Amino acid sequence: MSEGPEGKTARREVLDPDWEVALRAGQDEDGHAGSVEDELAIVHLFRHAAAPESLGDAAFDRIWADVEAEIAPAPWWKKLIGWRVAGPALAVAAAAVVVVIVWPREPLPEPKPDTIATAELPTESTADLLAAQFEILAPAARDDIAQTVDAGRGALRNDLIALAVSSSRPSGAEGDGKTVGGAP
Amino acid sequence: MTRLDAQRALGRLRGVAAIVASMLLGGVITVVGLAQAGRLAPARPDALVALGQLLDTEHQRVDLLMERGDVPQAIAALESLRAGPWPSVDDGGEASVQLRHDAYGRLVRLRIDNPKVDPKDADQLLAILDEGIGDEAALEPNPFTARLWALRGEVLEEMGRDDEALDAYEKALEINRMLLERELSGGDP
Repeated sequence: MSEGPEGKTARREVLDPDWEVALRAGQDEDGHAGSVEDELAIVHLFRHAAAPESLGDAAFDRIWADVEAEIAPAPWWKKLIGWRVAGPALAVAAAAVVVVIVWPREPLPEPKPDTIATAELPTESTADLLAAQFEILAPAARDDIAQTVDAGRGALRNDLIALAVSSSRPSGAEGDGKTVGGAP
Repeated sequence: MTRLDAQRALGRLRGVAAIVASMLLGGVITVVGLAQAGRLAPARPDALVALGQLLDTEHQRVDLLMERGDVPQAIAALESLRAGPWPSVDDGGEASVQLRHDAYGRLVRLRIDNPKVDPKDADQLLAILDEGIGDEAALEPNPFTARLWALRGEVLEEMGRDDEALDAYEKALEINRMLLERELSGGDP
């Protein structure tokens, strides 16, 4: 006879909402040590099995909104940003950082005084573009001309040496007895 | 010696003669081509050397004058160069023509950038440019000739003669394009 009330009492203790309150109060007394969530989850499951709770439309919509956010496919532009754009963009940015900041650059040559006006102008017109091209191409061409002049100087020197040698040699090398300029 | 051996020897001789003739022809074509292009040594190397030394000194002098901001004297120095004798392409070689183009280009550039110094109108500038360009045909591409054509285009554009300016610009761009191609190919085309 006593089993019935004892069993009913035990069952009521576990599923009674007061039990959950007592469990959390005990957790608070222990300084929030440990977790009671697992036990409570099982209790909620038992309670739902014993007396299923109805799910209202508002609650259903709230839960479904969370589920939909997780399972809905991402729009195309997000995918594009995520994989096709972000990757190359990061690579380009990294390369730009390397080229602009890290890469060593030679200092620009000092422009000549009379070329400052043309060299510093932005190449907006054909004349500016051609002036800029001239500044680039002229140094090598001047070197070429200097080499040609040097070669001419060498040829001239050889001619002068040959002339000096021939003029210092007696014209009568064959033994005619005469000297250059009739000197004795 | 059999008849067959004689034919073989004659065949070899013909082969050698063809090779020798080809070499001679190639040599002649090369020499004539270089002479036409003015790439051989000038007939008067002393003229080229004297011109090179003179222009080197004068350009340094103009550099110094420009550093001091004495534009009128710089223009006067280049004008005195212009008034002097210039060796022909036959005497001084193509290098002497390029030196002339360089000096004329610098003079006109200075005149365009400083129009208030010893003013010259557009027609006078065109006359100076035409005098500098001269009548030498088929010069090796060089930036000094290209600059003269570019300056000519600039003056013509200022005068509103756009079609002629465009022609001059195109000549300058064509020369520079050839120079760039030569640089990219690593030497003479």
